[in-house]
Amino acid sequence: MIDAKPFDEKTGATALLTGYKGCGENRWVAISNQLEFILTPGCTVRLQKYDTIQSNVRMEWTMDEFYDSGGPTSFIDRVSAALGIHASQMKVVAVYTGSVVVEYEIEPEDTDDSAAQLRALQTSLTALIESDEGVAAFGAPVLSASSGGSAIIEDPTYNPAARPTAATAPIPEVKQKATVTSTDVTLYLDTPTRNSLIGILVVLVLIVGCCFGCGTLTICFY
Amino acid sequence: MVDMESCVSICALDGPDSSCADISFTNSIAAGCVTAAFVVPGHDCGDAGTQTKFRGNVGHSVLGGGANIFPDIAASDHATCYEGSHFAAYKVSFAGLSTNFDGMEQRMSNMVMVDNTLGVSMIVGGSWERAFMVLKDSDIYGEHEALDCPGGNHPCKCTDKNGIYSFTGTIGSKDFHIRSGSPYPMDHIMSYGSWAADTDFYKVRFHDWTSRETACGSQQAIFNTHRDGSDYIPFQNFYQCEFDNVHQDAIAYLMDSPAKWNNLADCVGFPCTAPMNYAYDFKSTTYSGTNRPSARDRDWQIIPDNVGVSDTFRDCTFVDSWNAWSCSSDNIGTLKIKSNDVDQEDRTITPIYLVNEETGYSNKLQTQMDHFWDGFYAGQLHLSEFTSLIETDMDYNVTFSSTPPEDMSLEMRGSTNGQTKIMIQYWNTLSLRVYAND
Repeated sequence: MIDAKPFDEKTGATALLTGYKGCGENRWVAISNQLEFILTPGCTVRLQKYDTIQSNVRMEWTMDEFYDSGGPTSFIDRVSAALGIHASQMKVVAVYTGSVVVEYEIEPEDTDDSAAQLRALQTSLTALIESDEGVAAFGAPVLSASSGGSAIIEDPTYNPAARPTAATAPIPEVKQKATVTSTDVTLYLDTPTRNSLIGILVVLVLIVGCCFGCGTLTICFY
Repeated sequence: MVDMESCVSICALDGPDSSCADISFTNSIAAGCVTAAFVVPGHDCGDAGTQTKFRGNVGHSVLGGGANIFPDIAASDHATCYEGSHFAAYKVSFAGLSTNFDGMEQRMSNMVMVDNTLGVSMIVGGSWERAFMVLKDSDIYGEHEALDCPGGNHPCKCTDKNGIYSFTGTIGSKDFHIRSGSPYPMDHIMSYGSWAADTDFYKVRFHDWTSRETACGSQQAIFNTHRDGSDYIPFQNFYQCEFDNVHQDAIAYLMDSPAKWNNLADCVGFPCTAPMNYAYDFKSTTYSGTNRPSARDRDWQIIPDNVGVSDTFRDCTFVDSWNAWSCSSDNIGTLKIKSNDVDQEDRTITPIYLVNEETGYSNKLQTQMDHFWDGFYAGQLHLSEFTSLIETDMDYNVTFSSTPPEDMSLEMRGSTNGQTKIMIQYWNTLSLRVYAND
């Protein structure tokens, strides 16, 4: 068996193929679900699907914080320890922003009873994500998580469709309509505006006063 | 209604017979036969120089084929390798020499083929990991001066003339002596193409292919595409072959996939694609005689006119009279893909698209033909095994029209140069193990 290319922290995905490893060198591109591999003349490559738990978790973290705390390696160490499995059974296949989303897979031990193992692991993983211990295991509060295509924790503000973008898409402002009464209205003015308005009112009063005085004098004169 | 008589049938008429042995048939002529001049067992591999089992015989003016040489079940190891040698066929209406039998390696040597309709046709049968067809030290002649229709007299049987009827491999095989009409003739293919079949033409000499047309107006070409090769035609590898008095226009005619294959009983949606995805490859070729091809490269290839594929290859030129491309490239090969899933016959995953956006290469592949027929209904079974003509140092995106197989094998054949990056598009997340040469 030819191992897939390792995770590359710089790109947040598995490392690119070089061709130097020859026939069978391969990488899985998680976001677009593509397998890339090298074929050389006369070499037969066989691709076989195997059962794993495909999961992803979105955490309240920045990418810098994620990598400062050890990145995928520490992530695998923490989660595998919490699940009681060997770290080699876990593999991070992609990391991308949103806040931080980690896609990972868990495979069973190499035994005959892999289906039962996966069911047990799935139960343990769900419990871990939903428990308070999840924060310690994943390294940050879990905003949303899914496993095997089913949501474990849902975050309605998160749009997974936007996940291929490298940067988190800004959340658009929501304009809300509301009905108000006059008693609800309070006018807040800063100092310059207030002074200007007072000045304008004083000038208006003076003009009106002058006009009134001039009119009165004219009537009295006649 | 077909008369299943051959002039000479040895240890074959009543099926395999292990008690049938120690028969020698030499220096005889069989002419005017109905289905074949000779149906005879081969000899052990490597005994061509000394064997007297079947030697020095000639079949000519036969309505069917020349010689059908099959593995001798009384011999020790003919399932692994058997050979036929020292036979000549002249003016035969089908193939001058035919095989369509189960056996890992078939060798034919020291053959002389003159003025035959299909030339030499070899089909290796069986589900072998590796299978070989070898033709060596043989001479293949074009139309003879003794014409099919002398003086332009008509009506007469004015047949096409070919030298090599592209060799191929099938999972099934034929009875040694065909006794019913449906499987006849021997070169007729009635089963899936096989995964493993390879060819080796060594020191084969082509003589006197002087024109594109015969004297009575039929087509003449040395290299041809098997008319039933819907599923798999392997690379045709020629080493140290000689073109003696061969005209440029008479070298090849490679047919397109027949449009009539596009029907519910054969290849659904569009014709099967094997005829458009193979190549004739020549190494260390020599030329002699009055007529010589315009390009006389030592190393060169002929590839079919696969639109979107052949026209994107480097160093290839279209030759109108061949309906094919002449290439001078070290990087022409084929990519074999097969599904190993249990539903490999039931679930359709085609069309499969191979694309290289950089060169504009785009190849649309079809499943294998439905070969099942119960007398009223087709089987609606199509083996998910595919062959694509490629340039070996390019990258290709492979897209299946439905969920890709969970277990599949891929292999690059033909050119021994270059490596290729394959990208397969999956429709959902999954985990895959990748094995190489395991």
